[in-house]
Amino acid sequence: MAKFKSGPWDFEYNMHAKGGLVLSNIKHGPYNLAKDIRVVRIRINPEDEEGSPWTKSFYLGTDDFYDKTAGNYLRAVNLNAPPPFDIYTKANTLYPSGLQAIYETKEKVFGNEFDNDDGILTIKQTYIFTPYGLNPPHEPAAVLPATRIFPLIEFSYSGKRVKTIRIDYRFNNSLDFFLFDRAGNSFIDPFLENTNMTQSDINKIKQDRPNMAGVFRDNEGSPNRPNSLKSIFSAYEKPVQYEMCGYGLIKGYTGEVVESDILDKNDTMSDGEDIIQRATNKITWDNYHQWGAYKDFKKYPSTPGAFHSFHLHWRWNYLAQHPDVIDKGKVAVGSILITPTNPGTGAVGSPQMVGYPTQSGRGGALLDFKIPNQTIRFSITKTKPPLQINGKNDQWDAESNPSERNFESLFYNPIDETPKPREIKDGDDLLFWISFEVHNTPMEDLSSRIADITVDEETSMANPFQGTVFIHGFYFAHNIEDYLSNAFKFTIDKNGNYPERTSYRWHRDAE
Amino acid sequence: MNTETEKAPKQIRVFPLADPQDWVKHKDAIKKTILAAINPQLPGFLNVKYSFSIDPVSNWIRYNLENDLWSEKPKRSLPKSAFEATQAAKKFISDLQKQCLGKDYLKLEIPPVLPTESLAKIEHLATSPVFHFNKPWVDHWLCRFQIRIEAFPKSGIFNRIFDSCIDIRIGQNGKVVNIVSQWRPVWLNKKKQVEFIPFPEENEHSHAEDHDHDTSDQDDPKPELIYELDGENCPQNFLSPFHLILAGHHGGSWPASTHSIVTRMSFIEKETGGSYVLPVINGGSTDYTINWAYWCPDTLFDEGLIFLGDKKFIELSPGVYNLMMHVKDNKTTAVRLFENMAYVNGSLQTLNA
Repeated sequence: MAKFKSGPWDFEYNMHAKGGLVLSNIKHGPYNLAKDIRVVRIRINPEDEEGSPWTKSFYLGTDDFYDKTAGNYLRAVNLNAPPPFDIYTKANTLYPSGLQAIYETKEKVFGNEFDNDDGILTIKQTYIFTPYGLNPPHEPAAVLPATRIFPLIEFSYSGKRVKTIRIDYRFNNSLDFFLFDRAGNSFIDPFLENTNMTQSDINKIKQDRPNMAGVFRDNEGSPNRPNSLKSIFSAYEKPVQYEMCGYGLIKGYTGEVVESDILDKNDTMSDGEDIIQRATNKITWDNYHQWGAYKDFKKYPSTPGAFHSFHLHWRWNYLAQHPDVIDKGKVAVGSILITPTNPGTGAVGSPQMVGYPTQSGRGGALLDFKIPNQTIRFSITKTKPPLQINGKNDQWDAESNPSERNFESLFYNPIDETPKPREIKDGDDLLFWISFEVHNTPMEDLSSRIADITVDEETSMANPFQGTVFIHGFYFAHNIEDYLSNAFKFTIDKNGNYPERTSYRWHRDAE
Repeated sequence: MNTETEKAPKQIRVFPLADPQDWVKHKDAIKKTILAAINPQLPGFLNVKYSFSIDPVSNWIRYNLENDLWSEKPKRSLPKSAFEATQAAKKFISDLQKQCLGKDYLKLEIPPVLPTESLAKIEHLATSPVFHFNKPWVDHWLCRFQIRIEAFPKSGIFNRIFDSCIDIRIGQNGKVVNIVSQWRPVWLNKKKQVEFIPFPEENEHSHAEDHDHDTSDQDDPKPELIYELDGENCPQNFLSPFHLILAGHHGGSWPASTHSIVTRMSFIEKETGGSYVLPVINGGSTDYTINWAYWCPDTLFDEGLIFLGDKKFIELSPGVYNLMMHVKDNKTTAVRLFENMAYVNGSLQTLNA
């Protein structure tokens, strides 16, 4: 275990862990972020996941691979640049900084060295850490300071056998838990002895550092005066009530949400969109947030834009990407003038928000353009599984690098849906699992209105098959919740679930 | 003046910043000054271990008492209440201000570590106990502060300085065990009066025209006058005012003085793939020098930072970029660094025709 310190970043990393570069006890200065972050498994399919009879899985950092890093995991970044960017090269200025390891399979992926259609898989695992501040803005109002982390996996495969590659991540985030106390409203003693908490509550807070999770699907448009969670999000769980699995993207597309009021005046629902709806049949989520909290001993943060939170957005809504279309004449983000009269507009419409375009009236996902055909799956669970196997319940432990061929099978049996998901709404020590499956085919042509997305069966598999996942990174903010500089202050201390559910199954779509 | 007045004044204060190297050069003296205010010697520690740093660009100060913060021993001598912890943090601030007004510090001829002038106020925001990250006890108290400043002479109204956070952590026996100060070396006593730019009325658009299905009891948003300290890696040479307007997706900031610049980028996708990137600048004299650079997350380790130079606009091939645009107002000398992620696609995918 080695120590990484760069500016305020402080954590331990294991150079030869199963899972490659594994980070633990990750702090940004005195602000705690996570107990463990790792890539648990890389899965290779000769077919799409649903159709594949078998899969081949790899653990980074094991004998599956040659280590091509030559022991140099902490790599210096040469940022030499002339003024005014020499600020990046001043002594002790270490941004952006990071870790990188490079792996190469010892054999061709499927093991037959005489198979000319198979090839070697190369994986470049990179963590990048950036400075704290508003730059670049990462939420619509551009008023939330944060630091960014990129936990990247770049892959390259030169054969023809691999149909999909799936990279499974496991995050044991553990953000600081604050018993909310604005000036003059102190109600808690530091040892929790003189409170109305039960001993069980006290033990939970002290031992588990409870966190809450939130999942959201943005409205593609937004009312001109958003004033409630429902006016911003078409679906949400704030906090997530029970353990869950969900989709973030399906073969490059968002699941369909029909909102005719946000479409252009001349735009009508078309056959093309009906096809999308049938094809995806799942309504995807857009982002995941996590913050420290337990039961009623907290305030719910604002959303989006929690000022002390783990933020992960893989897609923004259409409005955030194209305000000039929806709000013609009101937000002149599309202006291209150097003029002192141009309005400031937060980050709405900035390229930070604009993803790979797919469906009309839907914001695209933030992807490496070389591999837009991605399926994102995720799960939010407690740290221990509900059932013991052979008297043990360590199957989800980090060191087990857990992952199943069918992503959701790790958490429940999809046939009888047992065991049932457990309640996590009061806060818990949480695991966030996120999986990126990259399909080595062009995206299906689901919308005839997108001129440049076409299917060409002759060139249906890229060679080499390569790209980078998690390219959007995630953000860690640790400011005090701001009532004044916050466009979404009306969501502070607001919780809820929409649509309301009568029961909570493991797999929940944003509908 | 927290919101716009009916009769806006003609001039407003801006404050020059010292060269960040001034604090870096005097790092040892600044450390000594802070330690004098902290007095970190604790019972039971033979050797006090601490870390101290001053960021060379932003001059953010970080101090950490290694013997105490996240110690593996339970801490039973913490302040018993938020009030007690807050008082300890306030005493440290007061002691540090006194140290900065002492002869030794004044001799350095650098701005104080925290503002000492009467036109600034250090405001307490909140205090919370912080639990240990792997032990079942409270490790310390976190006391959070920000700074306000008087924008108009003798107004008696103190405006927020955005991102002027000062987090002070209080450990055993009320000692300061950690400081993260985002204050910069601002010369408050070298303030300048410059032209005040009121918020343009035409941008306070009427929501009566909006087609909104929600019924709202919110008032139309009013701009708030704020000052702004920039992020950790951003050069800054003036503490200058802005109008902050918040109205959901209409939110943003506007320059409130001749020395205030708001920067953004605009993109035009190319039919053949890639994009043109143009600056969008609001404020200043319009006589700018604009320099560009970028790094890509997926090639950072191999290619580092790519300098593009002084250009009116730039052209990008497909890829994912962290773009940087450095704007210098040649008349006022004010600078601003703006960054944007950009996901530049391989071919024209225009949905907005």
